[in-house]
Amino acid sequence: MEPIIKLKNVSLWYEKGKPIEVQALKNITIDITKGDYVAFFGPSGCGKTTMLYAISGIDRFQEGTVLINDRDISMLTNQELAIFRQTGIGIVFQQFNLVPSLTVLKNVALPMLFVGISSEKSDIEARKLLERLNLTEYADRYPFELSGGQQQRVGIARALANDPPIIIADEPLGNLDSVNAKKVLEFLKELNEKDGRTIIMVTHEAWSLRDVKTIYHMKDGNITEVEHITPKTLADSISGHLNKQLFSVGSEKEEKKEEKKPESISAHLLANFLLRGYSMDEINRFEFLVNERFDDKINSKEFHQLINKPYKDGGVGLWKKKAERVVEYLEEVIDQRKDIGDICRSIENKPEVSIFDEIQGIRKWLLEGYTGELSSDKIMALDQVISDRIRNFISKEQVVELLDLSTNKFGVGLSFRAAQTLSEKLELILEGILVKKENDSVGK
Amino acid sequence: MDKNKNRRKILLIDDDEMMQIYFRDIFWIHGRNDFYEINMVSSLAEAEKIVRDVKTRPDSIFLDVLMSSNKKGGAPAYHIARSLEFISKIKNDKELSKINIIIYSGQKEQYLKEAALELGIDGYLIKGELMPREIVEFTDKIHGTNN
Repeated sequence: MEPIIKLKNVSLWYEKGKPIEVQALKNITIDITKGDYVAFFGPSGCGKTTMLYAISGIDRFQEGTVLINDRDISMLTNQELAIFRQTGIGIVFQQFNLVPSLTVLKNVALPMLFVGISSEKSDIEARKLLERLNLTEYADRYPFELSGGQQQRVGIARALANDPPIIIADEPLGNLDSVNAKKVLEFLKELNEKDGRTIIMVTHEAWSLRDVKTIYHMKDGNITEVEHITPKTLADSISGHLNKQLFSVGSEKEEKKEEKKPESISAHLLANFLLRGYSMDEINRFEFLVNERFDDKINSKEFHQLINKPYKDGGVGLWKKKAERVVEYLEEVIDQRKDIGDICRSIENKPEVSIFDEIQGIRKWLLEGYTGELSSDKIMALDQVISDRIRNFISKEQVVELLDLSTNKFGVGLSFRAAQTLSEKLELILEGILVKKENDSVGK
Repeated sequence: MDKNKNRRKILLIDDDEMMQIYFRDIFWIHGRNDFYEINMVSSLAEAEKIVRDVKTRPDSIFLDVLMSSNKKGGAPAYHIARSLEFISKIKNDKELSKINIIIYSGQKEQYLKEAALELGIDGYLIKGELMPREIVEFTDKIHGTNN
């Protein structure tokens, strides 16, 4: 069968020609056949996500060509690229990336409106997609009212919005429990087998490979092995990969550690939080720079300069004022994360220790920019929620619930929107450094 | 179908640049570049030249009966009348009458649809009411090029 996607000698560097230059893809040549179900599999930093971004025209590669149906996408104008991204590919994200202020129905309809489909028609089509994903009853709800599994199904419905022939899934199971992860895998399989769509998934988890037909193993920006899976070899292949992951030694163990690095998760949350409404490539570039700042590879001044620079010059192109605010915010997050790390360590050593002063500091930071009035009762309830979350007694979903719950039911009594915003802000500094619970490393 | 040689020629008459790109690219995105050669013009005058020339003559025309630049100039009825006149000219010309003409426009008025159907058009599509794949499938259907 004809390849739908061809990569020829593709090399991609981030920050090329600068001291922080990283070569993320090294001379990649592959053909992806129409109707294939492909996985890019490998440890963190191996280039697998960059591969998705190169194929979807989000990251511009410096060398080589990417052909979609024989057309070189590096030759597309910005307008053509926009249409390609809106109608040619559907992207499913690990973090769902739904627009919080839109209902489920409008989230799914949005990509259709972008290409000129009328509001009536896009609502009709969005409802069909919600029905297909068993989400009809949630059409008028907001994303924060849904569980993670439901939100990811909305993410899939949105990816299908303009009926694209290619579906790209970037670690789609990363934030799901096993039941919901299984459901998502079923849908991806159906989109491949029933609809005939080409599926490309990025994953570092062997068990998510169960339905794929071709596995590209990646390491350090290279493809190290290509496996064409037949049903016979599938079981062997997955158990082989699982064993590798379970009993990994030496360098692979190091990479697994890196995969769970809390800073990179937080950078992702932060990028989506601060750059809401910006394009994917801008958010992606910003996330990369935040990671560099977290790792102290660049200082605050360099970070500021980079995010202020135009996108074409390697920056994010933020306006001066916005860049100033973002830098200030990021430095606060870095400071708060250091404090939280200290608090968590002291709680781990001595669980009954009082963290009252620290909680107050965090609360003040959380409420910066909050315009509503809070009574002393509400402040006490808020402090309790922060404390319970730091001690990992409650999950982030429960934080939103408690912040929203009225004070006579022992909640804080904030609006849904405020509850969600405060919770997101809190997670930015907590992600990955919470006190460990017995038998459960992370909350719900 | 043999690559390139037997590609059906489609002519889009629409002066909206984004619409031109969108229309052309959905055929590419849905893997129809081997089936169709898509040409685009912004006026009836340019279209007429292409239609008259045997080498460039299209198999099908997708026509916006009221283009955006004409909306600004007022008197939309005049521009719609000119579009209908263009259709009539083609459909009444023995040499050209086999060309499929599909109205692809934002105009939803029933009287317009009826008038155009009377002139022998081959389809009436309303912009914003078809998904990208539906446009491709409609085109496949009228050319018998179903995948």
